[in-house]
Amino acid sequence: MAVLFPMAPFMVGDWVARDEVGTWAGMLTSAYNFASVPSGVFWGRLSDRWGRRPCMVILLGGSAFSIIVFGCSGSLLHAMLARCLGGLFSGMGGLVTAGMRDLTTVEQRSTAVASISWAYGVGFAIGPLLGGMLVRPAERFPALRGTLFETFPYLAPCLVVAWLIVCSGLGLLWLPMPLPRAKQAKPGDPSAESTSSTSSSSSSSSSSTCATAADAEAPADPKGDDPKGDGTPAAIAAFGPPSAVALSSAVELTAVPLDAVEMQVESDGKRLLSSSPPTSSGGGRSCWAACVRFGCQPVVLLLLAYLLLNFGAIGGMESFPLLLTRNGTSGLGLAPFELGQVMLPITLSPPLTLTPNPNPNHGR
Amino acid sequence: MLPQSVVIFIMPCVYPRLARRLGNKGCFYVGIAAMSLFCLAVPLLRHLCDPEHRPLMWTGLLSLSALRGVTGPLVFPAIIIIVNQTITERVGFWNGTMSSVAAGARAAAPFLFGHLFSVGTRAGHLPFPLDVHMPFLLAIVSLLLSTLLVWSTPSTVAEASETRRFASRVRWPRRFY
Repeated sequence: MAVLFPMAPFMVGDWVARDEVGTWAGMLTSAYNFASVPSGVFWGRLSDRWGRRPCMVILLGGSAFSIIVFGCSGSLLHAMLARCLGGLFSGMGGLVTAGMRDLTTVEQRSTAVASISWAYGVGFAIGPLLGGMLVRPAERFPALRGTLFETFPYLAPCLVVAWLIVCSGLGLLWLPMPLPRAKQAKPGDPSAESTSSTSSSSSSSSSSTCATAADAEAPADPKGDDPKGDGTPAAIAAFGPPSAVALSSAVELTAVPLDAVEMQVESDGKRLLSSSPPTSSGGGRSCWAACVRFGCQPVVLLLLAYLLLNFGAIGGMESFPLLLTRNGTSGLGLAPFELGQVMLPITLSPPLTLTPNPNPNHGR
Repeated sequence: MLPQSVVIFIMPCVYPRLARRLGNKGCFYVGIAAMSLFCLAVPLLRHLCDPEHRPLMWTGLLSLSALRGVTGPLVFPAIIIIVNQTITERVGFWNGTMSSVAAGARAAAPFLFGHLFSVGTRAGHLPFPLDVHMPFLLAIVSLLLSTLLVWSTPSTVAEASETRRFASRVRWPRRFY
């Protein structure tokens, strides 16, 4: 996506009046982001069913295709549609984080997630450089005149990006990935239950509940048998087996009232643990109460926090250059090159934070 | 260029130490505090635009810029890790939802904040909270609400202890041990 930053003003300038270049270049970026909104949820959910690898392959293929379509754009509408198409295949960030979550223990997770930020930083540093260097190549290299690159002057950087995407897709072949849920233990299958109760985190999605529970326990109980947090007997004894059938049958065996902690067992083997206030037993709950209960889930609160964080951080950053370039008493009146000098520390800082390794015993 | 050089040299040393000491939530709080400070201080720099205060303005501008650059890598990995330590199932779904949420904010925030800035700086200046400060104050409110939500969620260890308490009260069938 960063490749497009230097290209977009030139590209849009070929199709619209100079006064409208800023507006339509912004619309081009927004089109991608708007299309990305549903795609993250969709691909994330699909990856839980099909597995991460097939979804990643589809996303990378779709991204490579969409960026080539964008490079071949002959009109603004064509370019906008290509960006929308790219947005529909943009769920890779969520899948990569989920893949990291699957493949790492709690001790490794901080470094892994921080390395994603580092990779983004490097990409955003290299991308604009690539886009700026390769745009309109036929104007700088006479040998390319009369070729495809003269007909489509913005295709060259897009082809390079598509090639890089395909190369990264090849890397997936060697990446160990957990089995999708569909291929894992089916509820009701005794053999599957016993397998799932003793499986390790290498087969991750169905055992992820157990693995997470073990992860959670690891710092609190250093004498446990599971230093890696992989879901070994200590964790199973403490948290119970991961199978939904096991959980539901176990709950049926007891008459202990669950006043402070409620376990929600879903029919397809999912379970969510959450602390919640006491609830009235029996009877149907109202839709409103269900919504409130869902909204009080820690993960939902954290998602809301993530939304507000993005909103505040991006909004602040959006207002910053506006303030810097505004003349008069409402701004600092900086020239464009001065603005570039001010923004440089911001763009260079993300790659600097490689290999943070927070101690999981703290701050949780 | 000096602040960026300083940041380049000190960040690889500072961040791991900070993270080891404070943990993920601590890093998040520190990052939010720094972001809020950035949003609070930036509008004040316009009072230093006159030539005699110009060096001071540039010093403040570059310092704040470096501060903002450092906070992103502090805050975003921290909240991603916090979310991933909270979720137990459907990892792909929740992480996908996170990327959708971020895309939604990226799509809406520039329009809203740009519009607010335009309204605040329009001719015939508005009074204090509604002037050029408004988008920055809104950003601070948003960041502080986000902090409140993160603070209100139970930590993973607490959840684990609650879960353990629950597990101890349920007599698991023998065959599942």
